[in-house]
Amino acid sequence: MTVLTPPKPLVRSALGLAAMDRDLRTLSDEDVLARVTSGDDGALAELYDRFGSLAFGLAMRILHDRGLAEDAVQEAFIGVWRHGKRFERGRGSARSWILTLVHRRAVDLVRRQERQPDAVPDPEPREREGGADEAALARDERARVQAALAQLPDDQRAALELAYYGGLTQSELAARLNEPLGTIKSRMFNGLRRLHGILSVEEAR
Amino acid sequence: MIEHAEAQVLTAGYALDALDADDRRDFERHLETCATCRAELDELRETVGALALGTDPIEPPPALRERILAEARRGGEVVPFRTRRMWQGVAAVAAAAALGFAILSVILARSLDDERSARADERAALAVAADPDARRIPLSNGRGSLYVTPAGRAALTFAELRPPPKGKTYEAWVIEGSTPRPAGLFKGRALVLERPVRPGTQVAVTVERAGGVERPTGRPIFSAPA
Repeated sequence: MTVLTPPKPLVRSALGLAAMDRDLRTLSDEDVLARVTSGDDGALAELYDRFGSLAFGLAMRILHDRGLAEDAVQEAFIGVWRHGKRFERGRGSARSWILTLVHRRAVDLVRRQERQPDAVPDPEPREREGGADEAALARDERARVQAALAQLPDDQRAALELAYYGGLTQSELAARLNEPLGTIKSRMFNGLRRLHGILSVEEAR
Repeated sequence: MIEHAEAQVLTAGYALDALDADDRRDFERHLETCATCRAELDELRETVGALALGTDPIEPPPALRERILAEARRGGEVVPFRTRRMWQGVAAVAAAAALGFAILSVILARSLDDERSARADERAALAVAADPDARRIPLSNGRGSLYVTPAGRAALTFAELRPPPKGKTYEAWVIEGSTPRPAGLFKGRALVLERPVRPGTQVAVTVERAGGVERPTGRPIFSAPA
């Protein structure tokens, strides 16, 4: 699964750089990331153009604060810039790796905020602020993931959503749902395995 | 050590960044020796990546792109910690006033050497801060953060730190149990701590006489639980 986001025009003074950018656009996410590790900031810009809106949408979903979401995205991309070498091909996609960094920064931030009891995200999709430049493919993919989540039993879906989008730890979840920690652990595991199964079957179609 | 079955069930929580600190530690230890769990983790991480795609993309402000690229071109060394609105304002002002900081805004001229070593400290600290595996903990009372890597390497960074009073220095402490141990003196606005920081310990900063002391004499002006 790949999200194709049309690259935004880059402001460049030299024609040669513009040609390089065109070249970058044809590369896979993983190849662009490899360029980043050799210190190519144009490649970092390319990754940002591919995943910036996704990253910001994810951070906003978790943090509900534009300033904090910007911080999370900025730190994640600087993490990509400095530690791109840690990405191991064959152990997953570059996109997942980048979004993992964004997620980790965002939950770090959310856990340190004074959490209001109800400050857990609404499960409903929020209104999109993205422009018309987003590919239909990304929309399809989002619909596919949301449909897969909807196939999970309610308790499993809630555990995954509260953890991933709400930034709750397992013990916070146990307290919130008033259930034993062990139950939460296995529910999260079973839910994620099941989601994996659903998405794999869909992919194979 | 935890048993494989016990560890395996933690894979999901780990992939979701949802483990509590003790479970995370146990799981990471198990992961080092268990190829099965590593493979399972890779698989579940991809699924978690799909969860990120289930959210609605939001166009970030154009300035963010510029900030990231500008920072990368500088070598990714200077992280411009943005003013954090949430911690700004009344609380920070009240805390600063209570500590008499409002009157300490004298800018001390620094020699070039001091300036250089301050920059070197900041670069070292920001390298810790940029480690994607480092946990980030905002400091009480301040627009600053504590970063701790899984190995316990830790750095304190401040968006801004007023120069200390004449003849004084900012000193960092790592507090295990109730024993504070000196962890370094600030030359700039960031510092890599000289001691490892383990979960459950506290990190604090006090104002001490120049050159530093072995036991803190003042109240912590900033602190954070690791």
